[in-house]
Amino acid sequence: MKLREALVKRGFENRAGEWFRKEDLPDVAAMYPDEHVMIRRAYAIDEMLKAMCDARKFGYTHCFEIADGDLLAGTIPMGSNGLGKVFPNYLTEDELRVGSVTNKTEMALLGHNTINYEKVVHYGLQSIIDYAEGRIQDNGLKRVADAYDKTAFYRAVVISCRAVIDYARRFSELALREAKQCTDKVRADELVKMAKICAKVPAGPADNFYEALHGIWLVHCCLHSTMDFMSLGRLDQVLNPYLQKEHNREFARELFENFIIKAAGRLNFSTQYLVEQDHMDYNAALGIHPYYLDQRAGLNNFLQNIIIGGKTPDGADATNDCTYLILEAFRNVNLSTPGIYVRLHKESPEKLFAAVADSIKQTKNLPYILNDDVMIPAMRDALSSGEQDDEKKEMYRKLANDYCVDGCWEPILNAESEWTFGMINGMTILECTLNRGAALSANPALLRGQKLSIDTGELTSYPDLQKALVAQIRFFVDQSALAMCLYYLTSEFVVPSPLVSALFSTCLETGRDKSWGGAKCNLGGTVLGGAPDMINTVSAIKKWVYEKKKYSLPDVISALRFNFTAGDTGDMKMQRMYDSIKVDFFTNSPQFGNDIETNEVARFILDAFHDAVNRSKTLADKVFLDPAGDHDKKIQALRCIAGYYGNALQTELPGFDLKFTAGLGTFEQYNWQGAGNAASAARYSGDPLAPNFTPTSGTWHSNPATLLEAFRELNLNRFAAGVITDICLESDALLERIIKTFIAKQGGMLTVTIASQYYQEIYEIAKAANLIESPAAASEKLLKYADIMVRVGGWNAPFITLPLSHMENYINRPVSSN
Amino acid sequence: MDSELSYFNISWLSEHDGPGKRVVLFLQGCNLNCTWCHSPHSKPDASPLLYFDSLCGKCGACREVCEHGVHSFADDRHTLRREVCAKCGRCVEACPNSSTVQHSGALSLPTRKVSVASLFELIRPHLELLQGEGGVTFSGGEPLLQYEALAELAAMCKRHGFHTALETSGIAPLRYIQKVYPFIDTWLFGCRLTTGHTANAAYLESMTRMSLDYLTKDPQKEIIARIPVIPGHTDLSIYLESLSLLFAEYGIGKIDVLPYNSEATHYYDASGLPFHPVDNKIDVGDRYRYVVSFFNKNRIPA
Repeated sequence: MKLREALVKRGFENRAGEWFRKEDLPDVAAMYPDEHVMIRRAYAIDEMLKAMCDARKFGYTHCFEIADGDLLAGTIPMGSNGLGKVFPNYLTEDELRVGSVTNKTEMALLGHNTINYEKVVHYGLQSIIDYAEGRIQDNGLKRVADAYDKTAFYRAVVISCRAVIDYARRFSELALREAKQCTDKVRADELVKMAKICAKVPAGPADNFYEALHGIWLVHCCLHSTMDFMSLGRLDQVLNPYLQKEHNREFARELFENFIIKAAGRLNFSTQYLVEQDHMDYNAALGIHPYYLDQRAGLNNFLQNIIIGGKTPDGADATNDCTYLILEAFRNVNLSTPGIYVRLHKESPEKLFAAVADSIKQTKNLPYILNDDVMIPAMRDALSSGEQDDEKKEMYRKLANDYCVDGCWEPILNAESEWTFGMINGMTILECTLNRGAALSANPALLRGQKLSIDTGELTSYPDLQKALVAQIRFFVDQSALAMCLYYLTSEFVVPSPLVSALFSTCLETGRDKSWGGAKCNLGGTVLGGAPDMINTVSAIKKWVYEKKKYSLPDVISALRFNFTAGDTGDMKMQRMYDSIKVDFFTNSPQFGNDIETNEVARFILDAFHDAVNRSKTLADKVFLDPAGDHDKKIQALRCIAGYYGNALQTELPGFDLKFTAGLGTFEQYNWQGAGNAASAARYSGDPLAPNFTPTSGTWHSNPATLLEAFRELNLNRFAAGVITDICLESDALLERIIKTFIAKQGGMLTVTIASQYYQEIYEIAKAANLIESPAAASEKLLKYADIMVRVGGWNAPFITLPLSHMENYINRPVSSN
Repeated sequence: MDSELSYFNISWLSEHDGPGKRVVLFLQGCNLNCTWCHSPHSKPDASPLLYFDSLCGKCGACREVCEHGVHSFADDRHTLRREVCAKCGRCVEACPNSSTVQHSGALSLPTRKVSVASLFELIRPHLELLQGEGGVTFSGGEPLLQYEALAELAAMCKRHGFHTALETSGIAPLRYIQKVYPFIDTWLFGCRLTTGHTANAAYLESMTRMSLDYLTKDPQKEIIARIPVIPGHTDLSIYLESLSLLFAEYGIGKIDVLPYNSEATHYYDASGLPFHPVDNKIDVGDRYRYVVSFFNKNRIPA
């Protein structure tokens, strides 16, 4: 707990000085201009890990220190999903210039995955090096026929694994040096023990709980220090065999608490020093478009989750002793990162349900919940869709049983799937539906509005609206999903991941990087944001325009476009109508989460979206995957239209498939996405969208029973890219029943926050601090609230660190039990 | 034809209206005239227009749409003439601080008449959420007045395994009770027996006895007496003593003594009705403790 206190204290200080300065790091591209990009990337990993242990030159980063009381050596340098990362350049000038077209540089690395820690602790990295060297020497390189430079791949694996072993060795030496100088016998013994462990793992296999956990920590540390913000996966499954051999359970729990605190080491609790810590660049791209993140909201997101409980690959309940140990550790430490998800299903032990409810009551927000009964069939069906081979189907069944989520909540296969995704904004889709393919912009220079998609015509009836909405959803899904195939191969030449590939899926066996078809499965998710707002708005239009015929659709469109304001026109009659539309759309319409009447609209939208993703997959296979297209002029023409001139992906990568999955959510982007949208039902222009698949803040009036009932009707077990609901309850009175009902009624994923009475108070302080107060004075006032955590779409964050807009959104969230 | 039920409110989570956690359905209509009633809008066939001043933005939207001149504004005061109100709901719909869907806000016409099947569908998800921890309580008004439709709803609840409770004064024709009796697990008995100074005391007592004669036949059915502490009425010793005797006679061993509701004026103000609150010099907490100790002394846990 001393470590935790130190962490919070440091988090309130200005951490700008702790960041690596890129100009101080070597330019690996200049050092090895003629090497394959994969090799340069591996050398850059080595250079970064060396720099982290160079206390003379980079002492300001505090990366090569062992804090008093710390039992895990190794420190991740500053970096986060919102603030960016620092890493040595390894790309040539030409690569950087051409990369400007697709927005790809080394910063484009996605993370968002898990690696095979079982392999790390059972075999160690040296065995991987041996294997890779063997493959370079024997004829193994030729075993899998594809166009890939396998020598470069295996060399890169060797270099990066050695880099990690060297990194651990440096800490072993440091621990030994410190032990010699240490006058406290107990601490000196601890340091000697750490020195021994760091000399042993992760190079070799672990023999006990401490070694296993330390080995995992060192690898996690190296991945997160070298651009790969990888998640931690199912650690209870990896660690339980070691826990069973450990006699001192309390020591094991303390070690795990230490692990959590170390992984949280990059937290910023103060928001006063963020601009100087902004290391983001334009290449934090998903796909190929510059991706403007809500950086403030992502300030303390590190894409690191731990998954516990659930089922084994064979389908048996996987809950074990380590499940409870990890849960206890999280409950005791209660920090916002790493994330902790528990997989629950109908057959999960009662004891686990009780422990989860107890932990949420204690921490007010941990753990988050994944419903196996929904996510497993979703994943299994997405993988085996169209598959005829029984053996493969059986493999998919096991992989689905072993699913986990990555750094936010995107479902992936545990260390077996490469994952990428695209996000689409449901409210933009709806605007284009209502406005013939154009956004509802109030800017007169754009006439009807910014043209974003196809013209689906005037809507004179509700069936017209439905038809247009389906067409618009299909357009936006095609645009997003097809691009995942189109640009699949670009990553490998910019951001290959040899260290991840060494520890991930079948990359080693196939000799392919994970960005080049090395994984057993490849998943491409399309995630729809703002679905609850779409549901509310379509429901309101259906009621007031088509059923009650109180307003014409053009009048409603106009009111939404102009945010219910007639403005300077001075037209009082129009203003009165806008006022009336506003009242009916805000308070007199059924709303998702409160009223079962919205379920029909919800079902329609979800069906249309899911179907659109499947349609995209059919087209994507025909155009980009199937080798038959290489000899078909029509298909070649289609590829050219998309801007792709190469062979089919399955020609380049035999056996490759990119499975499409559909999901519902926004992550932290609900404020960001809504900022560009016109007004809608219960939402002013520019206001946030609904967070994830949760009723829009401020529109949820009753306890979650009606929402949970809606889940049962919506067949959420088809959304393999995840569907998550973030609820904030005024009290924990019904908590256990809510969790159980959520599982029974087939909800997908759930986070619960028990509301704090201090949201408003903190907001007032933060608002004042922004305007008038000194950073130190504000910090002093906010310190006592540091333990209040809330959910920010994709992760948890200390409430005091939220942007004001997110605080405002949160203040409206708590749902009464009554 | 589907039976219909008329109700004016639903509480989704109450911990004071029956065993455990309860969904409470407040049914419209009452045959009594208790001066201390805190839901006066439950008495008529449909509630009058409710108005909550603290939620009103004084925007005047209601006045603009009302064809009967119910709403007027002067000196930032919103006054209602309910005697000319047609309960058309246009003012509620026009009000930015009210919801015709949630039936809440500054203005509301809370009474809803819906089919038994749709009402069951509305409450079912909430009862499933409470499963194992409570159930549904039918309250009012006097719920037995809608006994036929209520029996259908209660039967549906029982078929789905939900615990049911019914809060009644017991002042109702026996056939009403008989109709719903098979579908009610717990009877919350309001004990309007007598306060010793009402003109129809004998009638009330005979009705109460008739009800209890029937209700206590089956020892499986739970009966909990409910006594709201109303100073000057239900805390009088003559009342408490006669109740004690009655409880002893019928073997009623459970009593919920309910503290005086200090918010009792709430719906009188909202309905535009006069209310005669208890003398504010009386310590209502003290009277509550007195009633509880009275029963405890008589070896009845309260």
